[in-house]
Amino acid sequence: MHYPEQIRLQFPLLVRNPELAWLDNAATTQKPAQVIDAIRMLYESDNANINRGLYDIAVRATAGYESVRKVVAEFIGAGEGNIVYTSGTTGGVNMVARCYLQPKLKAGSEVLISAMEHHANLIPWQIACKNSGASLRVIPIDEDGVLNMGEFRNMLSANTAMVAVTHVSNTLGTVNPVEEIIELAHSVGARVLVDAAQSIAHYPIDVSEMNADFLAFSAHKMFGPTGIGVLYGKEEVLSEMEPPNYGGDMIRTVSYQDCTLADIPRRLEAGTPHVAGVFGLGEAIGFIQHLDRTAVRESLHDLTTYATEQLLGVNGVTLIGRAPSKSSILSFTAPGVHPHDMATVLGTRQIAVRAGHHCTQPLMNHFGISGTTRASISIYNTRDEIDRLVSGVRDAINFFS
Amino acid sequence: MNDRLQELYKSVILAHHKNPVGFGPLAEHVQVVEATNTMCGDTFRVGVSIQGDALTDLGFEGHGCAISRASASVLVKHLSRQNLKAARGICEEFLKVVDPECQNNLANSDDFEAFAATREFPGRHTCAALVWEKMLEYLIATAE
Repeated sequence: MHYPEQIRLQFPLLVRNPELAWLDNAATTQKPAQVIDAIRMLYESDNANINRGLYDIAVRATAGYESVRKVVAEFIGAGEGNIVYTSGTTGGVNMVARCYLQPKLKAGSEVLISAMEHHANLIPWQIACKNSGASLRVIPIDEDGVLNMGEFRNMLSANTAMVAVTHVSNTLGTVNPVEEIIELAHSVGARVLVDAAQSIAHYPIDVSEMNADFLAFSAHKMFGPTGIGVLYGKEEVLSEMEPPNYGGDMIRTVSYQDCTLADIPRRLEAGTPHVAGVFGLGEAIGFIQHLDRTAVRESLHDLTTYATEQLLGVNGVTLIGRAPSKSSILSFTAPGVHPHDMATVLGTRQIAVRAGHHCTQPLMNHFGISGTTRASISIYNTRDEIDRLVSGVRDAINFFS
Repeated sequence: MNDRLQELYKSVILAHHKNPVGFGPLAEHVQVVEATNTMCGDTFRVGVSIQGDALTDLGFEGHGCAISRASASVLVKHLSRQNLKAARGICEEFLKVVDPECQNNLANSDDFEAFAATREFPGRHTCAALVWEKMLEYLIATAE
């Protein structure tokens, strides 16, 4: 069983703000005490630069940093050598677009993305295409926010260099059939990057089963700290990647005129990294692994179903994103109430939701709206919070009508 | 609705939101001052002509929240037929009223006074200020 009220007690911010309904989990999740403690303990007990010092503390810091790489690898079914620390999902996608793909693109090459991508999985490809004369093509979606797989099949060709898709849409909640996408893309020789920012916290991910070439995610959407994330890559693609930065920690030997580079993944991690962030990430994965993940998913599914029914019971509320396979994200519009006004009304009632375009402006244009109000549900949210949300939405509509 | 919200969405703001002054497609001959809130993507286009020294043909189109829409409506209402210098002064006055750093109630019109409550909602400052900031930039550029 999963008990949100008990889970909530492990989150100091939520304990300090007992009235706060944190329904902005797609933007960032709150952090459990053990993650905050791990970061504090690193600075209090083990702080040293990694891969340099020969004293005990430095050895502990380095060992801790590398042991998290193993934890991450096991968490997603990868080898340690395939895990590159990044600043987050955005950092990972940019690295692939600029350092792996762009040098390979030429006029006539094509990059495919879906119509529901976050700007972070759109603009890096857009720029790589502009810089190389390649084309960026967009796989369409239907009115429910489901990817048009037939059209995707038609778009694939020998010219397809990369397919970059989100596992779960941050705006619509759609869960995309990434395994099928990957298989189809591979059949024409294309590489695939999966944006797992929204799926990593709640969905079991095994990259070897999924067979993704790249997969990127952020720690802060999975109960970990901001500023740290992971790029997974197959060995053959990581070894072809140009280092995003040159400097300390990524070389083997250096003379004034020449250098030899370290092996992957360190070749791709120049400079002193976010050591505390890595410790926090490791602890966040430990936290997730101690949850009953199946029970959590069932509980989230039930709560999302309940929230959907309740919201649609409010006169005029429209859901944007109605895919049959959907995560715990609810994007909606309310008659006569702009999303910003809705978020302000809800905010005064201690209900935190996101309002606006959610970094998916082209997607909003597709639906002919400027933005939505988005409630995204996580492990510590309760039925009572959903009732408060729905009551706030109802009152806001009455207030502005 | 609680008091803070009542204060924010005073009847003045709701009235301008529901029946905005000068809202509709812009005439072809006007100059356009565009104001986009990068946080939400909401955009208003304010149209204006300058005849002699006076602002005429003021109107606006676009979409946004209640506060930004009411703000654009109040702008159109208060700047119409003002001369360039007076219009600049009015823009500066409005921006002072919504400035979170500002402690005094400087507003001498009910329309402006209504927006003072946005100071209590720092997240909404841009909604109130944006069209005025862009208009002020335009007026300064026009005067040069």
